[in-house]
Amino acid sequence: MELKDQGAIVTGGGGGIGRATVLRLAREGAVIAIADLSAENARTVAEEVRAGGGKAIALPVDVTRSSDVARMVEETTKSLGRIDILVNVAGGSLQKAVAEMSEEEWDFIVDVNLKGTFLCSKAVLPTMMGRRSGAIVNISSIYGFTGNATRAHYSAAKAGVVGFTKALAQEMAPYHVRVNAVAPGRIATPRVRGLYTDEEWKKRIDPIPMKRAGEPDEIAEAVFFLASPASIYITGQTLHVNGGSLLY
Amino acid sequence: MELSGKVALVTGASRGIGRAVAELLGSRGAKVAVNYERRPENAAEVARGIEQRGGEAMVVQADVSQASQVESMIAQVTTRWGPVDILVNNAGIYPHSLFIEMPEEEWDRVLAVNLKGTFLCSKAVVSPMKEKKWGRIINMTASSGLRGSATASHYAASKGGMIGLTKSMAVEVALFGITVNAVAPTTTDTDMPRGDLSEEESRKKLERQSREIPMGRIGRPEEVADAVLFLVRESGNYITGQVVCVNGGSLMR
Repeated sequence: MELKDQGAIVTGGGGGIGRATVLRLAREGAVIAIADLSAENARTVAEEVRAGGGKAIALPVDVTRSSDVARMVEETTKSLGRIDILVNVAGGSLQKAVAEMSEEEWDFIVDVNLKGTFLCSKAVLPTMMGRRSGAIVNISSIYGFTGNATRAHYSAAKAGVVGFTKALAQEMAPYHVRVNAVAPGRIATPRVRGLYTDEEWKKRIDPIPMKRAGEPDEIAEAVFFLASPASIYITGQTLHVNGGSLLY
Repeated sequence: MELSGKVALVTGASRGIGRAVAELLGSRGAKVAVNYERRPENAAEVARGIEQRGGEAMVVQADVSQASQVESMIAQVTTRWGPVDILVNNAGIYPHSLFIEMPEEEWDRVLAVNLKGTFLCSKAVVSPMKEKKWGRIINMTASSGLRGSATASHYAASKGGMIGLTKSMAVEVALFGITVNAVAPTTTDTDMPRGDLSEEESRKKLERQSREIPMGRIGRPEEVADAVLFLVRESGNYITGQVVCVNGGSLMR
């Protein structure tokens, strides 16, 4: 158990990649605050962790609201004692061409993916800097590198996550706080898979060199690596987990 | 153990990063072939260390730039343990010359060991990996393969070439359960950055380089080995064609 008794916050921990990350970190002994917009999803995953013998709390959090984020850090500190790891998974996308995209839609997607990452990271810095130790892992996306028609806001926000990761990594290096990103390719989360018919899905899998989508567990492995002491000399990097879709 | 039953070949494993990789894979249950070119005693010491900690190891001599020597090395490993499952192309050389003064022979030698050696060793192991539908190839590139290196343009070109080779091979074998990735360390605490410098000169050089790295220090071989292990384990199943930088933040990508 490589993360025994370490405190971790996973935003978006109630679904897909977030849930897989929570379960992976819990398996290594981490105690976890599961923050999710959906209180119910957060609770369900927390129960899964407890059923497996781990410790977790569920927190309903909108990562775009600084008051929610402040409460998240407060309650985590109170219940878990310490915050060693922050994983910014909370995010989301909608399909819309730029020509039709409203300002509100732009703001919503950029806020949940990028501003949320800023707010949550900022909120855990004091404790991590004070203890001169910590790991932040941000979830970017292959679209942050390739762009994606009908997802300009999401692509911009996920590229923004990479820039933020590098800048924060530079600021935090003297404090031994590491900041890295994971850029998933096509991942078969229940939500994403549900968007497509079998035929549409096949068309999207075909161009991937491995000819399959990734599993949430495979992203969770990369997050765990970047949160663990095995990556102690790695900071400011983006780890691409995409079956060869983008060779970076 | 997670790598039990796997056969690993680490080239250039008699010292430095290669040694750390061989030792780590050995400690996780892999049978490790420790390749060396010119230092049999060092290689034997690495193999002995792995065995003393309960692992299995053998030493194999080869200049990886020579196809016949590579073939005979792979044959020795395969005869003893079966086909290679994990290949770590780590053997490399790092002489210094201004490109304007660089002897052609020095250019050729660096490209031959670092880049052609990676091609030859990979080619020699990939067919059995395809049959088994499982394989891992890790190529040890370097920060300078991404950003260049004044006084080592041949080295930078060879390491940049390894990245192109990594990506190309990754796509060619993606359907066969084989992943091909590169690991890019920065200056690491081994003999290599010290070269022919005196102890005092080395110390000054490494101190200067440490100051230029956001984390304030050069890397350790074990830290590079940890990244190799991550890619080699099942945790690396969906990662291929990538370059994983282990550099204290000195190059962010």
